[in-house]
Amino acid sequence: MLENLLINKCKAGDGDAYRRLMNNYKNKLFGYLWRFSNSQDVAEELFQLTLIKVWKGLKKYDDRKKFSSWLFTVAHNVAMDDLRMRKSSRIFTTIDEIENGNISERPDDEYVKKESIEIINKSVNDLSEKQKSVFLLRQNGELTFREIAEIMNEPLNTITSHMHYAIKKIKKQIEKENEPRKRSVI
Amino acid sequence: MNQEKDQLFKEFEKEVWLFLDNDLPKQKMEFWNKKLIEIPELKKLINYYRSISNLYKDSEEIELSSEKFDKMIDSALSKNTFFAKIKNFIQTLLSGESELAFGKMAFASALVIAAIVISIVSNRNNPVVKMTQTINEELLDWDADFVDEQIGKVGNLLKVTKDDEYRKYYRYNQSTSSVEKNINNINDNIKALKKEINNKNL
Repeated sequence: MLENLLINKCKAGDGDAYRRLMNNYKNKLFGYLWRFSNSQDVAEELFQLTLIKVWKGLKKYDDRKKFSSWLFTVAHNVAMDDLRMRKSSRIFTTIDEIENGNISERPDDEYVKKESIEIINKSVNDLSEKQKSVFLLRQNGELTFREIAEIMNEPLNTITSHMHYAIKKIKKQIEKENEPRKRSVI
Repeated sequence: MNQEKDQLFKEFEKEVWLFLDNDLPKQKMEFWNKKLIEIPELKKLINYYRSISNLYKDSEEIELSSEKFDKMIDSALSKNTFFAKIKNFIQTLLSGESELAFGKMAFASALVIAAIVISIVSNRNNPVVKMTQTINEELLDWDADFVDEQIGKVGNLLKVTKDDEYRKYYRYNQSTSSVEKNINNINDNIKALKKEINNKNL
């Protein structure tokens, strides 16, 4: 209800309403773009571009559609356009380091958890473009697979298939990384 | 029994995603809920996905600061303001509320019209003439000389058929074999013509 009220105010040109509306999605949206691009600088550029496009596009936004779904459609298209441009200009981005802020009671647990997180980050980064899109839209966007299918303009079966293979790849990567440790224990 | 379980596992692997979204038909949802209780192995798939999902969520530490966010929002709003100004200008113009706006528009239109008129009136180079000027003069002359030469040759041959004196002259200038060949050809043609005429008379 509140969201619809904010959207209507945005359509009337209320900048403050727009700020409040986007503040609700700030972390999810930025997280998605950061994961997709693997660079904080690029993510910030994409986020800025998304904000501009969403503000302009709100006037044409159809209330019948779920706002988060529409928002991530815009963000996904922005990210894909950027990816195509970067591919053609052969710019390679580097992975930013992540600091794990979680504190565990047992130091060993913390170390293992940190390693697992790094493995997952690397695995996600190694996914194909479409598998990565589906995985990130699911994880960051918290969208249903049906909504993701609409955003990516692909059949539902294809989307669930991408997710299936994404998880399989990540699982394989984790098992591969864990193998040497198991051997050393033996 | 194991085969049946394997088959069920494979089927659930395909449908687990829509199951998690509660997006399967009611009967299917009931079916899988029942199977998850009967066959614990099926839960492994869901649990494994959830563990990856949780680890992934734990890894998300990069956040956009409030300061940067506010600046970006301000930037997005100001970009749209420029277009809104243009829109307002046009709307004001059409409503006739501002004489100054009308004056500016009239001046700009006059400049555009003047530019169009000047471009039409001003002399332009004929591209065809320019193209022909680039053709080599020697090339044109060579063609004319060649044609002249050919006409001359034909003229000479005709004279040979009519004039004995010229035949002699021609024979003098050409080799014997080519002269005789030419004369013989012409003679043959004349004979053929005579024959045709005779036939027609008959």
